[in-house]
Amino acid sequence: MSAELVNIEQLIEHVSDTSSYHLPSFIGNFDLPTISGFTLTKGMIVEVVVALLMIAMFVPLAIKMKSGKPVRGRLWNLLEAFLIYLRNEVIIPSIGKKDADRFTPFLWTLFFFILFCNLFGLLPWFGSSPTGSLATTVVLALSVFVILTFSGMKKFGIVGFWKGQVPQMELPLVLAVFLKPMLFVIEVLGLFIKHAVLAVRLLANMFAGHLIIAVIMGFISAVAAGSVFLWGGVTIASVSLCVALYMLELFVAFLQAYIFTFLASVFIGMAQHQH
Amino acid sequence: MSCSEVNTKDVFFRKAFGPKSSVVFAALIYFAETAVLWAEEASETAAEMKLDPLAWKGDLALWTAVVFLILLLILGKFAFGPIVKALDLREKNELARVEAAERANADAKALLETYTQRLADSSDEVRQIISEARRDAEKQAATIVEDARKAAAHERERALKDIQEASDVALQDIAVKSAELATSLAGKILKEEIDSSAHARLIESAVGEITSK
Repeated sequence: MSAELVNIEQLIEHVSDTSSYHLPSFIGNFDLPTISGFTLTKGMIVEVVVALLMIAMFVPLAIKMKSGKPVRGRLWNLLEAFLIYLRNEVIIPSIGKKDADRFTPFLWTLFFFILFCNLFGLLPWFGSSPTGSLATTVVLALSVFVILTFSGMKKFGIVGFWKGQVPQMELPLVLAVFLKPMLFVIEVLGLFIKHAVLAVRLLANMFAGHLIIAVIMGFISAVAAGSVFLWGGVTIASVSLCVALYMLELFVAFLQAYIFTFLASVFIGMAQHQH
Repeated sequence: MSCSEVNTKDVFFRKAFGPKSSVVFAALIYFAETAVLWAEEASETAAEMKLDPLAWKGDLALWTAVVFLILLLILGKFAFGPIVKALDLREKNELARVEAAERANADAKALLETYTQRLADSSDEVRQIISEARRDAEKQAATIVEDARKAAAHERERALKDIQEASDVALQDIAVKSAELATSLAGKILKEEIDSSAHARLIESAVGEITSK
């Protein structure tokens, strides 16, 4: 058993968003093309697959639900249960019954896009979750920020929305002159930070999970040069631990999609109902 | 790891946890040290490969933005928008259905109450009819008995009258016959001829005497 059988560099590539699919060694790698400077990566392919999958699932569901009658079939009921739970337990309580329906399609799209991206990262050879890249999570958090600010400005007016970031306080004029601009800066910074944290939280969870699995799998290659007994023991331990971590990752995939959607709902709710 | 270090640890584990523990602990220490070495190597490789989780990939960001926006538009138009409407419609239908069911329930209760009342009324009515019928029957029976009694009395009276009349006629016949017989006997005895007019007078007077008696 030689240590060169599993290349550390190759193993690390499995958890990063690269443009090369690592197929079994007798087939070789499959490299994605670069089109006029634009490099396709595994994450991009996952996003497209996820988007197509979502369209393939939810458009028929919408057709089945059109009459307003309950749908039949396990898959449709499962999807409907997800949608209804998110709407009734997350979106409406956060945003309010009156405004919730305007944001529900966006938040549903967000939840399922994140969930499927997270889950696709767990599939062998797909390798990396797009949500394990900062670029993806930032774009998603940015979409929440854009929706939130534009809907807030539409509701309260441009000045009203930004003015509303400062909590209402009965301050003497002298204090207000100093405090209110400071509070405005803090609140606006807070608004940006909240969304940045939203992006980083998802990224860190997805990236860390994959990296830990890769490192534990890497133990096998690290001891491959040693005795067969040690290698066997480490292999059994690593694989068992990885299976357990996979279970955890499965849970984290759902949890992080839920947390992202829940916080996005709360932020939108806060923008819709100012202090 | 030097040989003396391993030996020191070996002795320590043997003393602390028993003779067999040293093998297990040695394996664990070897495993942990290898893991640390590998992790260091991996992190170096990751750094060499610029595997920075916070690295910015403009291509991916642009791609994600485009894919997500198109997905949002398609799903908003053909899936999630209609689903929200369908859920609202369902909610409205369910509310209407619940209201209708509540109304039907209230109607049924009212109807049940009416029927129960009507049933109670009708049983009272039946009881009344029965008691009236019984009263009528009793009255009719009493009338029939009374009529029968009256008719019987009447019949008796008439019978008595007929008997009386028959008795009178019979007595009169007896008187007439007796008178004739007496007269004829008397005639024979007296050998005296009397005319028919005197004969008739005698009979009448004899009959009159008999009847007066």
